[in-house]
Amino acid sequence: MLLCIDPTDGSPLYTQIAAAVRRAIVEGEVGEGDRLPPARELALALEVNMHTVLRAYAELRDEGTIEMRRGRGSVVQRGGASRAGLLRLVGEFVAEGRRQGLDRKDLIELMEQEMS
Amino acid sequence: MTKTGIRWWLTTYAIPGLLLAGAVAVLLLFADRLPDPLARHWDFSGQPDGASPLWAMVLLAGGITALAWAMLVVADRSGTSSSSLVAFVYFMGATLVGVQTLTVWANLDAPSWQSAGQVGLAQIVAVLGGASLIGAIGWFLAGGGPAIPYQAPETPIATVGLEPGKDAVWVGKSESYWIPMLGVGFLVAAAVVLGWVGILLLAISWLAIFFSAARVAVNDQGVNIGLGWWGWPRKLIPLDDISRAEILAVEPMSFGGWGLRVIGGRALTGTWALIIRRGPGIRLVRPDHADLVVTVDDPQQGAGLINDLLSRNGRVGAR
Repeated sequence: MLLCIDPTDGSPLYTQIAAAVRRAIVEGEVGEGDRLPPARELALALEVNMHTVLRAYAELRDEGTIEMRRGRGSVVQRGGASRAGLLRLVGEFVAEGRRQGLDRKDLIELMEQEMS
Repeated sequence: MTKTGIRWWLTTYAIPGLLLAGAVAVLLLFADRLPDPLARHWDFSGQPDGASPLWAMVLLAGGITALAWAMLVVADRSGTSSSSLVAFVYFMGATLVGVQTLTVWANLDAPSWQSAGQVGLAQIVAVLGGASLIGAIGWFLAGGGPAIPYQAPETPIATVGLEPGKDAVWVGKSESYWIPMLGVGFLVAAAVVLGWVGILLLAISWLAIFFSAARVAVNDQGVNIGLGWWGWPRKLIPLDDISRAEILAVEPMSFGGWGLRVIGGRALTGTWALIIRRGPGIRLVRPDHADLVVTVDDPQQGAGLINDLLSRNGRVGAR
């Protein structure tokens, strides 16, 4: 599993790790039902604390991309790839909106227009 | 407790615990109907030809049991447990239970071990067959699935297109399913054959367990290669020593088999290889040291990242 990190990105490290894992899932490097590498292994490679990786995994679990089970490790959920893909688009949508100076209300309005 | 929590508890603790405790319990349950010492080894014609005191049998079964279970619990705690490990422990537990049951059955109510009943190939085959089935159940309980088939790469020098200013790491692994099974075979043999040969067999079985998986991690320091599910011992190959990374389809026999191998002569000109299974792997070309080959799933990206990190340092292809 390849993880790309942008050192100039100001967002917290665990958010960046979660985004990198999401990308790997969206691009099918890790398939549904596959196990993610153990947090300890990833932490060693990234030269970060294991808890930072565990926090990233917890974020992916909370959004429904992966399942964390004792004894099985972290497994990509069924539908995890499309879920991660959607979340990625939402992330891009919000980032682009902010860049264009739109606030929360404008973005929600845009989405409602699109859905009606 | 959630549904998956119960399943995890059953898979990791309850079932292997029962299996492994059963191997000791079956001896103790019938202790007063067994001769002491009791027959524990049979020759090819099925006649008993070796015996041990009951306490030695119990101690041995208990020792193997404790080791196997400890391995599963340690792997679970460190998040490195896998379907193959669960299957391995189940297979081992079932084999032990089967072998001990056979032993008790043959010795039951015999006045001395010499007059114990016969044990033939058919019973041994039945035990191994049953144990394989239980191993398979463990594999499915732990969520095992088929491995992804390997596709040969098309580009001669792999790359992941690492953008300038970005950092990246890659982690990969390779696992074998039959090497740990072989380990169990040796472990069971060690339990039956006591003495120096038994100790040797025990050593081989643990060696087999070390070589049942490899972990590979790439970052801007170099390539970290770790042994076993737990990734230890590990060795860092600094990026500065590497001139490029290649993808190859490993045919174990062309490296002289499985495990840690040296081919093509001395340390500086030859190749060191860590072979866990047949299939995809990475070759690290090192101008001033022996080349290194390690089997690993999805090697395109691992090799690609190594090459991208090297070309960032202006080194790729130098030899």
